[in-house]
Amino acid sequence: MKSSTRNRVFRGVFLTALGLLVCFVVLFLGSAFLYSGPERMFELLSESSARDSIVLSLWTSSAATLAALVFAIPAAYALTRWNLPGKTVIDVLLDLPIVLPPLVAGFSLLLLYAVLERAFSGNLGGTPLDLRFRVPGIVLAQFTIAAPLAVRVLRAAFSEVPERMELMSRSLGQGEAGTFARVSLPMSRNGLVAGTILVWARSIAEFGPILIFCGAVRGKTDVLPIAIFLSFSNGELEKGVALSALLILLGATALVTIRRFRGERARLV
Amino acid sequence: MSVLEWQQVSLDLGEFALRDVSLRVGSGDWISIVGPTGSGKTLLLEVAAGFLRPDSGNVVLRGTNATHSPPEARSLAYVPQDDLLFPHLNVEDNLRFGMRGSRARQAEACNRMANELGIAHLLHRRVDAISGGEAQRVALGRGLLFGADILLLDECTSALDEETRAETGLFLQRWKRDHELTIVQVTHDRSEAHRLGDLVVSLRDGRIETVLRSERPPLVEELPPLIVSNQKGTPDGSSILADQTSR
Repeated sequence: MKSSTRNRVFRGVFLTALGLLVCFVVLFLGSAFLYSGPERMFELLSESSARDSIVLSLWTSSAATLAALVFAIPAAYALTRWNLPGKTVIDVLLDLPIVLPPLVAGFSLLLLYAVLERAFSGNLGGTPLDLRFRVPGIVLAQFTIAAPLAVRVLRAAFSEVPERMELMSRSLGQGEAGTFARVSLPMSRNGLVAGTILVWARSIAEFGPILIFCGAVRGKTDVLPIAIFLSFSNGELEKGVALSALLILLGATALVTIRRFRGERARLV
Repeated sequence: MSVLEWQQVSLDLGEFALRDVSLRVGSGDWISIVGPTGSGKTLLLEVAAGFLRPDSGNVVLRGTNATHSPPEARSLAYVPQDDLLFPHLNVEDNLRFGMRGSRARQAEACNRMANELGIAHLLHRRVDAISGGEAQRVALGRGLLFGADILLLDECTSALDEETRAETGLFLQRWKRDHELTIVQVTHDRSEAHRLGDLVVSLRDGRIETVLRSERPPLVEELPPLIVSNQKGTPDGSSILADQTSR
């Protein structure tokens, strides 16, 4: 067989695999949009219960993302730049919630509260600290996964800032805090924005920890994934499909935005 | 009086190293450091600037042991070979990065420096939209505007054409005279080293090989540890620098 023919066969096999995979993804995601048609879908999403779920999802995931950033920005920077004792152990600990089955993460949160309950001699229930089966608990459940994920993606963003740039800033009189504010943060801005969007997208799609920690209560804890679960459980197939399509759309928008910022970052650094 | 001193400094980074280097720079000196690629020239400056910490030995700044001082505590202006301009800032903001004082004074000094270095037309450009030579001039301007009394220059004119390089050399001489600077300059260009420096220190394999007074035979052949103190220009006055900076 000629070399050019071998190359054609090689490329053909690989491109076929790629094409089949893309077709599969398009079909299984696209079916949500084809199932009931755009008009019916819009009608279902306009129902007050769906609107409430959307609003609840938007604010809880945004709050969880914000809380995650408050901790993850300093944590990620410290892990990226400083030689900390036990860094490997810290790394593993922070990565653990990301790789755990989500249900286990939710169950672990409940266990944490069981331990706290003992520490409070059974008086935790009813206090503002008790977030179980309450809306603030949704934020905590989302935060449980969002914060470690944020640390991971922000570490990647900070590590793309050359350390020599920071040293240059310091040799021009800026201390570590000034250098962080004037060089490290702005230079990793696009990575930070892309990371934030990724964390938000992950938070809004969180299901397992919320189900375990806050339950699936219609009109109370039914963020979008819980609302989808309830819809399918109650035989409201069309509504579940419409909400699924909305989540797919949000995910796609997030990914497109992330790609745009990643491109910008490549140009900047 | 010595303002900068390397005391038996050793640092091994594998490909690059410094081996037991001792060098003393007097106030107002212009020391040129030459040597082949990989001889440790840049390491010498980066150890002084606080970018690298020596494995052993000390860096003494203005009479104080600064070996473990962070870069921001050293008050040295370092102009590195790779410019290290901040890509998220435009040329003007890069120039003003290390400056203190009112914004109006900063702007005035910045404009004057930009005019002197021929980069006034670039002030509002992004730094990734200027040439290598222009970037070097911006980095030099930023270092000078920082206002330190000690200036470390690492191949800071290597991307400039001959004419601009000569102009920049003259400008640096004037600036040094007017601001009473001490300069340690790394260069590949031996003629430039002799033209600008009071003393030319030659490095090889991380060691000081020779020290030459400008355009003169070697003072010492083998020099670890070497002490270079406040010696200015050439005795016969042939050095441009000596003519312009003798005090």
